[in-house]
Amino acid sequence: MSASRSDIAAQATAARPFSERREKLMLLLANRQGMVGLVLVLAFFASAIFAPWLAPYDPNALDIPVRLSGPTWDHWAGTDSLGRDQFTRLLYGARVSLGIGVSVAFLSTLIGVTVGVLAGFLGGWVESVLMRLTDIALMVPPLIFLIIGARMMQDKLSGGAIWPLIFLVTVVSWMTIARVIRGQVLALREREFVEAARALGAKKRRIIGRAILPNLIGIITVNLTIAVAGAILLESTLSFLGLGVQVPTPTWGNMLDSAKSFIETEPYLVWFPGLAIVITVLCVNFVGDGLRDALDPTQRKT
Amino acid sequence: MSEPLLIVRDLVKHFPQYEQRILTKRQTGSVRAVDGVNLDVMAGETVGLVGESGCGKSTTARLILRLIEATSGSVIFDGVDVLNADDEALRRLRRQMQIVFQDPYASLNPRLSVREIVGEGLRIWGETADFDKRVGDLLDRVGLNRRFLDRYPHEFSGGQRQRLGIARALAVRPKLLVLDEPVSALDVSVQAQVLNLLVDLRDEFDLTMIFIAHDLSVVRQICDRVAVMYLGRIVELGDRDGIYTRSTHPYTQALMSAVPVPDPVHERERERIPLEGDPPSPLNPPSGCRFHPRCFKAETICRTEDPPLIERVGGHECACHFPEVSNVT
Repeated sequence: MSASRSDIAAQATAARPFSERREKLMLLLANRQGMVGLVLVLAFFASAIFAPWLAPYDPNALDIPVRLSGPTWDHWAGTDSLGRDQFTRLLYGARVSLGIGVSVAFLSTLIGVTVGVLAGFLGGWVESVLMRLTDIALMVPPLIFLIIGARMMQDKLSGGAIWPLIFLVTVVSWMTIARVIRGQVLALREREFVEAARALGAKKRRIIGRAILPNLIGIITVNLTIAVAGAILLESTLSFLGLGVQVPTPTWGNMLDSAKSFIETEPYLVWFPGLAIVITVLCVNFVGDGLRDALDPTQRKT
Repeated sequence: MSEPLLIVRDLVKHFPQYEQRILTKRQTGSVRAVDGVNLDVMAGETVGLVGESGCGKSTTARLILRLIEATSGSVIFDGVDVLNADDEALRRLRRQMQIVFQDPYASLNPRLSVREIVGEGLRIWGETADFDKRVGDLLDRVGLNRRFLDRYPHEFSGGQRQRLGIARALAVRPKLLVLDEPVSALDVSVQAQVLNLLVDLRDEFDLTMIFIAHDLSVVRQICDRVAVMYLGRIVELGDRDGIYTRSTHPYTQALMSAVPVPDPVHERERERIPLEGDPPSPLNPPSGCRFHPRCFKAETICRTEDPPLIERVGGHECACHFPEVSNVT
């Protein structure tokens, strides 16, 4: 794997016949693990978006006679206790889980990076205020906050809205990245190339945009993928506790929740939504690793 | 004689040291990195700043460019007060004073291509017409292939990176170029190439240079005048030949006697002045003359009275109570 990867990278750089974007793409394609992850993640997204066309049944159609049927040719992933098609519900559930995962990841990373960069770069009272705020946010036990928050927004959640969940999970997810980024910025700020930019007369905005942020890309991409995974898990946890998106809207989390009473007799009801979560989280992490390497110019060998 | 391009007066930088208690911070003292430096640099000349590690050479350079804030003192560049300039004025001043750093690995942004690193100054100052051509010309000038525009720093050797650092500094056409040990991280053969390049560029771009080094033979090749620093102060200042052949400060003499001579007979026979111990801590510099604990000539007055940097025998400025011309090489 490593041989094929460096070969392709070498071809890409030897004569430089390709644009830089093309080069990055080729590096990503050469990373087999990243590729598998990317293909699967894209497939999951596509099936979430096209669920109404792909799904063989109506996600809420009851068919009591075939309840708890187990996987069959008619119902690939079996049916639940009310006879609803499990495969259909998995496709629709992906909409909520992936939607929340991606939205929370982007929002929390955006907040975390902004807080971390401002605190680390500006220092002084800005840093004190932002970092104390981060510490306070970290002191709140996330699960308790989520449970209370979800209770308080119960009426909106039962209306089928998912934005309250995105909001709540974002609130408990941005602090770690803020701290990590601040630490990195503190180190970067003292590097000589930052001094050189200042000596050339660069303004703060330019230094942040050209010297600080590009050197944080690796950490940001990795965090982004971890955050997707973390948000999907948190959403599942909440739904599992009956506090997330309310039934009948399917999510992977509340499917697990309703499956738990049948875990001994009908284990496939737990298997499929569980696998969906595990595979998604794993693939998103693979994509993150691949992206980080593809975006690093030092990985492009001469 | 015309006004100096750069006038440095009583420049001081103390780094406070704190002791962290549970709730409070208490200042326990300060590192006197630079403790009263005076220096005039004429337009077109190259002044060498030499001394041991930790004597405040690099700090002095950063203070002059105001990359760090001074504790007190003044820096006047081309008639403008650098240390009291507001943000905009300081930005404009910075075009005219550039720095080349010691570490060619840390001083180039690993995420930017050569085009963006060398062209950064042009972008900052909005001079983006014929951008690629101008950056290419700069690469030519420092002896790099202009086809390297799309390469990244990690693809270059130390010497090539240092050339990139020089090109980046020259892009904004500075009057003053501060070189902070520009060759000490390089192989000896590469050192010579970079030094030759600097000499060529000095003539071509009419540069005034402050050249920081701890290698005296490097300084001798390139400088018109030399300032020897010890523990945050300049202890001897004079033209190159004066410093190298008729030094009067015992510290300078000790440094000179440590420079190896390529003639083995002479090398064996010449007198060495040993320097004992390490430089004292700048946290708590010695009383009187700061060099007295290591000086072979020290007497009572050296322990109590700090000798000023004034013109003495030998025709150059020296901060010693007992200056004597000695030809140690």
